[in-house]
Amino acid sequence: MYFSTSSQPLLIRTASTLILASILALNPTSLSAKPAPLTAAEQSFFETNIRPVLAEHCYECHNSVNKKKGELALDWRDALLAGGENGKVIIPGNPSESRLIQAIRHENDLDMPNKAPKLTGSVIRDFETWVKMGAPDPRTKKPSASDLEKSKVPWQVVRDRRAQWWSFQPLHVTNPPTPKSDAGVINTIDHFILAKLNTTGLDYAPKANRHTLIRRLTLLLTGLPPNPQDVKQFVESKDPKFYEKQVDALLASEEYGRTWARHWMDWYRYAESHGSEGDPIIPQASRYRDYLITALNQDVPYNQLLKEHIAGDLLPHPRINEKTQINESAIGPAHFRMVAHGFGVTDSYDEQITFTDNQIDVMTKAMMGLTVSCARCHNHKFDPISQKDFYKFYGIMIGNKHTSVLIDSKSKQDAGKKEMRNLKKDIRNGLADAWLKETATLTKRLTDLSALQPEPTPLPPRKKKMTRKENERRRKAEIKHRAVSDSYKAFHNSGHPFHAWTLRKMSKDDLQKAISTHQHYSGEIDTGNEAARREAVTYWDFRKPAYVDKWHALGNGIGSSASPAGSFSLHADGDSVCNGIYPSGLYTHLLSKKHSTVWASSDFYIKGKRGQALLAGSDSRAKLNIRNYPLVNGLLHPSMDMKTTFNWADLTRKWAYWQDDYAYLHIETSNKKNSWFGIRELLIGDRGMRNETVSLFDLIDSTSTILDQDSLLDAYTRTLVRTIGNWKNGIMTDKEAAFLDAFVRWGVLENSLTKLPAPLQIKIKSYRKFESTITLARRAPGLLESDPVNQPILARGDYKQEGPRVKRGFLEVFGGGTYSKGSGRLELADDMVSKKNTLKTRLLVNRLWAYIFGQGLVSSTDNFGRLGAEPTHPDLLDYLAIDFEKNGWSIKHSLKQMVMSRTFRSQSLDSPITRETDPQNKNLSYFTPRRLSAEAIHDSIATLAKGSVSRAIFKPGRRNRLDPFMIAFNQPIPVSTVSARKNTNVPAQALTMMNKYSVQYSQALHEKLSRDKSITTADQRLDALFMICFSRPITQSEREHCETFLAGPKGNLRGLCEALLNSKEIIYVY
Amino acid sequence: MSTSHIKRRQFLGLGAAGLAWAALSKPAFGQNSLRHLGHHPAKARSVIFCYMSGGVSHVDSFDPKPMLNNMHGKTMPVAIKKTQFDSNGKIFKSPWKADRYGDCGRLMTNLFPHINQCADDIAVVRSMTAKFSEHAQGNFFMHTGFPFLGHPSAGAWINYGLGSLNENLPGHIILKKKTKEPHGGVSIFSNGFLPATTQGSFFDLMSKTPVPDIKNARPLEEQRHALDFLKTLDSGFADRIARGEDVMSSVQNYETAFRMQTEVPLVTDISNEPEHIKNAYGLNDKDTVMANYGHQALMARKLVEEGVRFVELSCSNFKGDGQAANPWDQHGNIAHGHAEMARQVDQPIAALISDLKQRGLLDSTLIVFTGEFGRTPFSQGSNGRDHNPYGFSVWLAGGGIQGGSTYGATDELGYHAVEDVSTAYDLWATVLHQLGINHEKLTYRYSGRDMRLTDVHGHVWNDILS
Repeated sequence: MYFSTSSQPLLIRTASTLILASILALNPTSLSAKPAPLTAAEQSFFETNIRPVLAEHCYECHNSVNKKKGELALDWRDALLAGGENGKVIIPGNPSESRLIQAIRHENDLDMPNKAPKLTGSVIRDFETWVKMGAPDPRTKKPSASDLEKSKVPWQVVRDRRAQWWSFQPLHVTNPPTPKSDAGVINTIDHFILAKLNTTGLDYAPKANRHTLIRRLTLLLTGLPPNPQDVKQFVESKDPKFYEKQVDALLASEEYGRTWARHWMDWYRYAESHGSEGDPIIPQASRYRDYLITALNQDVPYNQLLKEHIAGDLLPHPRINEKTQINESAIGPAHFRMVAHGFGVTDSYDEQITFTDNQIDVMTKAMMGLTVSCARCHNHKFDPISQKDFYKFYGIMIGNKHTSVLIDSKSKQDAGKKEMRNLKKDIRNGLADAWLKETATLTKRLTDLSALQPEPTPLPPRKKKMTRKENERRRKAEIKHRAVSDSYKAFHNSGHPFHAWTLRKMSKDDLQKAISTHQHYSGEIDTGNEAARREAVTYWDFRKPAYVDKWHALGNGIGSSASPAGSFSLHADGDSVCNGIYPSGLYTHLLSKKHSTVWASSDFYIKGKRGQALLAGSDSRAKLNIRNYPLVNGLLHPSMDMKTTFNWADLTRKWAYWQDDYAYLHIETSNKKNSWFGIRELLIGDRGMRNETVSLFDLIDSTSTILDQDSLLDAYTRTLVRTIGNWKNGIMTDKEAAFLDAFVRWGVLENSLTKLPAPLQIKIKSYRKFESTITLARRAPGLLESDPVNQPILARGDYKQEGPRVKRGFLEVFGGGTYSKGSGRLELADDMVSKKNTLKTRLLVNRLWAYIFGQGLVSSTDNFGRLGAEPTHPDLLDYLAIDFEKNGWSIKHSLKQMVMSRTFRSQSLDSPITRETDPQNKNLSYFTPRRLSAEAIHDSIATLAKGSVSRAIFKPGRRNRLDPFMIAFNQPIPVSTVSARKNTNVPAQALTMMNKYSVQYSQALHEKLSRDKSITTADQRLDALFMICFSRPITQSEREHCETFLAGPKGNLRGLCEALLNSKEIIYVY
Repeated sequence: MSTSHIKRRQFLGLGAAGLAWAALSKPAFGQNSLRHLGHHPAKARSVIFCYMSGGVSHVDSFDPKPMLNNMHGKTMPVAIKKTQFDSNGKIFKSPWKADRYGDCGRLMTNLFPHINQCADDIAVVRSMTAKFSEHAQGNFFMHTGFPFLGHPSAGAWINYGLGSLNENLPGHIILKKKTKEPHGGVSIFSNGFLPATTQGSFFDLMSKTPVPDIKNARPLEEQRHALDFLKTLDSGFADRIARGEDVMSSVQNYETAFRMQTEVPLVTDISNEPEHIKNAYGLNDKDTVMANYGHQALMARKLVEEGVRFVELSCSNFKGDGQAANPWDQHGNIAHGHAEMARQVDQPIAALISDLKQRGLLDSTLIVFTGEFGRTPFSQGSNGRDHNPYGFSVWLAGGGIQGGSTYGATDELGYHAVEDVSTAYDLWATVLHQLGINHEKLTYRYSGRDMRLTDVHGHVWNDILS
């Protein structure tokens, strides 16, 4: 089924050699390019075999219209015959002397097409024949720009031909071949491997001994060396199933996940910070690492994990960890957040392209082994991936906001909600009844309010020199003074509920005058605000159902629609009961400030003079994010101011700076302490909004009766009674809510737990008890699904040249299809694991194979496209993929198949023949020895010296401070997908091992030996040391060497331990 | 050698599985590189990169603009592009005086009085541009041609292309003395996807052991004894497995490391340098910040003498107004900050030029002086300047560069490059050219692409070559 000669153009198959023979026979002397008309046969040969190849592979750089590299054009006859800056390229009749032929044969340092795979043999032969024929060429006219355009091979044709590449063919079932020799074949894998090995006249190397096997198994499956007891047991076991049992035990070990998760982290360029200036952290990034470890240890099916990686937060039935009550699935998309970010971004589109490109690059390489991001500026150069394909994925990506997601299970998120909701009804009634009673004594209550007293006298000037104590006292006094004078000022603003009370000493005329001044002022504000709303470029009223698609939220704090006026929240502890009574709006804390919410508005364009939002909150963070750019820290990315009462706040002071770009408002509650926010409106436009007034004069039924203090008090009482009644009945207005809120907030109405009626106290305490069981939601980096976007295609990748929008969907080569649900992530997740995608499981089993056997059946483990390799054992690869899918996409199942095979159990010793005929051991005649990964080296040395280790996988992954030891031993820098690590040999490795690691750990190893009471002789000590370090007995010659070493100058046991920790055997698996 | 040579080497596994398959015998620093790539005869064999992290104000140094004096305090006549801090003031004249220097008569300010004396040795390119207003991206871009981590630094590319001339020293060294790496961190000096041998090694001159773990933890003879023992053991292991030669090249690697332990301290020892040389570099100056930079400059000369391909010098923030990672970054009080920073590097760099010249090494050593961007001709706040990537100056000296030449120009205010607009790609194309490398042919297949230091760009500045 595999097309090993896959670059053969489909078009050329019609020409027959018969015709060819006849041309040559009829024109024995036609050895020059003839101007004479071509024969029908020549014409046909050129059109079928030559022109399509020239058009597809050559015209782009060698044409007479817009690009003439090396002064050579190949798009018409005269130009082709004229040659380029280095002379003629065709000598008609003489292929070997023709430089064009040399170039396509890759001779004489010429290789064309440039930076592309070599043309196939049959195409090259066609060109040779053609030159031999005299290079008959019907293209006698210099092409115009439009001719050139028309001559281009249509993308569909190119794509479909490229789709013949082996990796795009469906999985293919083959019956396992029967090997000629029967060198102890164990499972199906061996049938394929040995049969091929036999065709080269070879057989398996002998089986490795048990010491080697247990070390090999343990290192590969758990990343650690076996301990001597396990070695002993394994070697001495009489159980016929001892090998399989050991494999099962290792796969079941917790350490298995801690090793294999690291491979996965390489594929998804795991990082805990964004890099660049300041290296801002990605909060909770390590959740993703832990998620991988848990999932691999549980052997969660691979298709499930793939889906979770794309849309785990959207799955209707997520995986819940019973023990931790974590929604594991929701952590899957965290890798999308592990992009690098610029810091002080001034070009937001460029930044967005860079990180979105990285998301696509990693997703497609990690899941499919395709370089889709190579199609950002033009159709892919070699693979059947169009530029549109890239922008389909781009749209899917940018339809999501970068944020943190809440990963508590639904039931944990909803714990106590129902009970608290019910109790809250009773509490509202109880409070309303108590407060109604208090309205009878309103005079005293208002008079007691200290802030209504005359303006506080200023503090005395600071002393020049103060002790620390004095300083502290002064600081506290200043805070208090500021609070009092602030509220004094607030109350004297005519918009405040208590303002009217400050006028109580006025004469009747002055009072009436003040009322009409206020009404004028208030009216002006309302008219101004109305005009601003009317004239706004964008105005969203989140209180209204019509705008419910303009915001997106996650979490247990916020509802699916706005809450009505009179919604209120309660304090979780302390003497104060009610935290606030609110106008209608979106709130996160109506049941608890421990509830969490992540909220984003839809995108809006930055236009006009300003953007404002009507916000309130405490300890939450609100920020304007330009084009999904999510950084929050530092002076360059300030958060918005929030107060505990509603206030129109500017979205950013950089409004002019970001003009015409687009952005969204992002608000989230704190993940560290109790917090909340509320939002009501958002407005983009020229006019500024002013906070509307909440005065007695706005609410009272009739202002004409207010003549003096008594009638003022009467008005307050009447209004308050009405307001409390409306609150109790759930029918209050926004203004009434704000009015009542002030009375509660300032304690004019009783808000002290101990002073409220006893039955009410019981309800409140009961409520608090439920609330006390709530914990702040746990989070992980993730995506918040928001407005669906179809991204415009960018000509040559340049965002200044936006083209038509591309509908979100899957890759053309797999049938395309468009997405319509939200961002499209969920549909993409389904397509990714569907039959359409021929790459996913091949890629995965090939990677598993490479980690076990040292190299993949396809050597390019990250590239299954045309520039990648072809499988050495195509039938085996497909067998493994099918077997994997059949067995529940179980990674452990496939690994077990591999390590159970006879192929795995060979010695790692080659023979002179294999060295000669198969130096890279592609036929797997022996087990390929190799250096361990950086993590396994670190963990091995620590484990064998100390017995336990904090494993390297848990080291922090801060981009700007990568661990020097890990990097020296080739842990990849987190940029893009890596599934085959490099293995370099640099002095830094030797220096760090020799002068640091071995010194550091030799002491522990020495002590471990000294502690072992079972060791009594020098011989036993060496036995034990070798068993610990190499999991095998010491040989006689090694014993002699060690004894010589110990007998030499400075030869002591610690020195021996140190030397052995530098031995290469420790850092090799063989 | 040719591109086919590169391809063959890549085929041998440099791209993926590594050298393990190639079984090279010499485990020196240069082992993974293309020795003597030599697309054409080289003028230079080493590069000294004087990196001015934070961004030097070109209008206050190598590209003075009389118009700024005339228009001081006026509003910019052209639209101001987005600046990082968005606190744009009026046109701001230079606190330094411009004059003509050298036989070439190039206009420069008196910010760098010592370097001005070398006016005829240096070639100034006044039309440099960068794509980024931010330090980290600018640093990555200037070093690697790309704005994010993951790509090889120029020093790595050069070592990949040419190999090392001294197998006991890294070929790519970043000197530091009381300095901090620029924003973006150590990945700025990374080998990216190139072999690890090419990555930048830090030599911290404050430390007695300038290379990590270079100090032998045990007495040398004890170590020798242990290594000999180990070699026997490792050879036995190598004999028992396939591809034992890989094990042996790792053993060789220990031998190199062992030699480095003695040789690196020898190279970094400056006690034998004559006093007049130390004085010239400012090593004995009471200004310790300058003395520290002078130490780096002197060390750069010594390393170049030893055949190190690429040495980068780092600036210190000891007295400037910027931060440790970006000491030239004077958003406020540039008159004070730039004066301090210039004082730090001026005398040492001038001394380096004349020292190399005297030793006949300037012809084969290419010095490059640049920051990640320039600074705005208008003020930030009252007396600072914000980042300006749209036009700034870099200068080169030695290594076959035509001293005294000037290339490209910014507009009358020094805001945008307008003539022969250039980028870091052109800088590196030129540097590679002088090293005998065609920048379009220095490629490495990674991630399905033939990667280049100059991406798909780069033009050699032929006008400034001698």
